[in-house]
Amino acid sequence: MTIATFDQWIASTKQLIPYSKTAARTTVANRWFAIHDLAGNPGAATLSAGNTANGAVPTDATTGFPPINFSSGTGYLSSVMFGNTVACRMTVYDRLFHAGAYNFNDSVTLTAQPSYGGRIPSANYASTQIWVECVTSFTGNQSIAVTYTNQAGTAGHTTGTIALGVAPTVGSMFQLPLQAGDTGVQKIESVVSSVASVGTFNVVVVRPVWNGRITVANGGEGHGLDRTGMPQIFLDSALALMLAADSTSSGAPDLLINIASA
Amino acid sequence: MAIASISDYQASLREVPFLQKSLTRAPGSIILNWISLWDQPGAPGAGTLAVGNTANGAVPTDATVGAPTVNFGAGAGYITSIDWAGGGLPTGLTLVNDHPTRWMLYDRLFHAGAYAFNAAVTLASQPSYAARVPGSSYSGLLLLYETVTAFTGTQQLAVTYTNEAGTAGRTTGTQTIGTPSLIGQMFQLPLQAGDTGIQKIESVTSTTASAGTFNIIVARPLAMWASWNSLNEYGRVPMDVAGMTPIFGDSCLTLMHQISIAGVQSQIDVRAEIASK
Repeated sequence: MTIATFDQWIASTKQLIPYSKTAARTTVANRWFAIHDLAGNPGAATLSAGNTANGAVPTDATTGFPPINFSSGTGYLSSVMFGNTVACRMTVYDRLFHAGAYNFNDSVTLTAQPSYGGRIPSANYASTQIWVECVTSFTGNQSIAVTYTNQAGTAGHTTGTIALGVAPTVGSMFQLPLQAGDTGVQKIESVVSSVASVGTFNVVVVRPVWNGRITVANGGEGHGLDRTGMPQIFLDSALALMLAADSTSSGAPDLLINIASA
Repeated sequence: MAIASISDYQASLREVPFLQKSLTRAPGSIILNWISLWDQPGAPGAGTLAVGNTANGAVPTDATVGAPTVNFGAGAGYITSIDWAGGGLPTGLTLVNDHPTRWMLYDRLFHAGAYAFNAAVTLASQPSYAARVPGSSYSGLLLLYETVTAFTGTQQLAVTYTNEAGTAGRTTGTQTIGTPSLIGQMFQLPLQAGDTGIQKIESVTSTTASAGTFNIIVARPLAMWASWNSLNEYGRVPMDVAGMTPIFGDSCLTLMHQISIAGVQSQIDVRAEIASK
């Protein structure tokens, strides 16, 4: 069943998921970074997606992602209590699909991509996003183009060739723009990287489910259901955290993520 | 029975265990580290920092000195809100704004220690904390380190454990703790890749340092918040943020905090409302 009233929320099953990282990553101020591969709880994930030909759909059973305990009904991200030792922005997202690690000069057309349709609320792909995630550091500024099937199922749409303007460092994440008129992504079709001379990267499709801000080092806050908006979470969602620090360290973030299900 | 509606909540037994801690430590430059309040004076009175059992460990409860009493004895209990207030000004310090302190309330499920700086102990007959894990899920438990006496030398530490799925022999790997100089200084230890919780601590191996003692703790986090001005502040974690986290009649409610500026720490009153039915 869905949670449609406050009484139903009260009656729902709650799972409090801690998400803590005990190791910090060297960051670039105001750039997004992956941190799901750092030590902590859950333990480190593997940064490289491990599949360039087809890509893969990570789940809560994938190493480095917290387990989602509810096994039936509908789940929602109900609240988040969060803090960090550094000022930063944070985004919790459902990692729907990833492919890589691609080389700096790869030109790959994917085949037999697994579907993440089961993790899209109401089969509406709007607001899914394409990100590039650095696996090993680059030499030279990377340019990248990704073609994809858009939210409506139209194939052959493209990000265009995007010059990142930097040589990405490990964990760096960059959101790629969608073609004019697009709002989401059903499938990644091809990946073409150029210009740089060293480095590897993943292409990731994400569904953001929560954003927060630490305004001062060691700050924290709690967002209840009125601020999270109770986005739907699936029993196999691969929840991960990306972080944009104000300075050069990802700090030691702590989140308590509450999943309500009924 | 479960609380399933506002009416149930209104009809529930509501108790407000009170944790009032007068902080006596001088954390100095120990900032951005978790610091234990388990042994700090106040109400409830100070707990004993050294656990007093290195061979088996122990499962502290609400009856353990240092923990507030939880009164409900039947039905299901939930944390429905938390009020907190900081107050008092440590001698020699002035009010400082915009230097947040973070606080975490946790159920202290298991602790063992105090281990010596050179301990290499394989635990046996560890008591189970299974009855304090909601839904029989060990996921989401934290592995913490707590300094009992200050260290000399740089400590290396490895803890092996049984993970959330019951797989034995998992390890934190050898972690460089550093030189914990503050009694009560805490560290979260990383789990092995792929793990999300702990069923049992198996062994503790500390090397390299030349003095110092410490505890190992398994904790179930319950709530987290931040005070922004270090002192003289009030805040509330309402029901929809606290999330009605399940709590048990013998839960051992414990606080730790983390300061952000040298020498400043807060006094704290915490009233965690527990509704049960």
